[in-house]
Amino acid sequence: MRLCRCARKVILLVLIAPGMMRAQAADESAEKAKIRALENIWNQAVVLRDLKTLDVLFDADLAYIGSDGALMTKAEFLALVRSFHPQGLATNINNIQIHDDTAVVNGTYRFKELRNGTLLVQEGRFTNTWIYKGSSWVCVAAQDTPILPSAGK
Amino acid sequence: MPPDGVRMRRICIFAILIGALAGPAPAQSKADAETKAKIIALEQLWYQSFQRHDSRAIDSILDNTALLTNYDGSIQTKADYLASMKTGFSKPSDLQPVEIAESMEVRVFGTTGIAIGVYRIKGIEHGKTYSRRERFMDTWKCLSGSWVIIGTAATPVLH
Repeated sequence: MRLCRCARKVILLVLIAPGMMRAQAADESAEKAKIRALENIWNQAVVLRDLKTLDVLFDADLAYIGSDGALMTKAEFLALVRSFHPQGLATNINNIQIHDDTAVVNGTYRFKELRNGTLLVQEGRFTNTWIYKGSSWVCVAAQDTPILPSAGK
Repeated sequence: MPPDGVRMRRICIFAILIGALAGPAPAQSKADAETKAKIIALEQLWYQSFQRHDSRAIDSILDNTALLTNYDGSIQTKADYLASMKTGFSKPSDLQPVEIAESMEVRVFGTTGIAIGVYRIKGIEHGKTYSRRERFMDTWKCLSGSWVIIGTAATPVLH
């Protein structure tokens, strides 16, 4: 039986589409892996107070909301990191959503800092927004929210 | 969890619109200014929809994948949030928290917009009155021609 052109096109699409979807899924998985790697580099850079690395990770127009609700520019956040005496930073990424050139990362953090001779430990949630610019991901917005005893989850 | 698990918005729309749209407009800035105005209008829609108890409109504003981080560190999915809204709507009006917007700015990165601002929220919880300021950040994304929130968080202002 000779198939009409239309039917041939439909069959071709059915055969190709799963492959395209697998390719898309693979692409997204690869991008999520990149984001995870960048988040890990961020953690290490904070503990080491590596401002050069943080400078590359953050967009020039970065908006950073700290755990006390303060809104900081990139320069202000880097100055804050410079003033830290970090003893450790552990994060757990719970979710990464990618929408075209934008990724939103949700997770929890545990930050240890030596302040005036006292070891302070803070636990909270973070929400970071990354944008794909040029040929790489940069963080354009970040927010920390302390976990209070009243939080149900 | 927040007192009734919901967030309301009152946005000083006129002052913010004037701030967002003022100034000269080269081609890139004009497009950004239009995006800013759209996001401000959507932020107001969120508030108005809540006032009208219009969960359908709020449903359309939030992307299905959005996670909401509340001021106390609790998180909600979109479904959690919509369910908590219904719970909040059933409470007497004098037990509903009151929220007053203090400021808001919008930053645009192509088809992504980020609204950042501060609001004061007052209410009654466990028989005690409370008042706190929160700084919020809402991430908006233009998906299939519509702007939706893909992430949102709030942090108490302590400084």
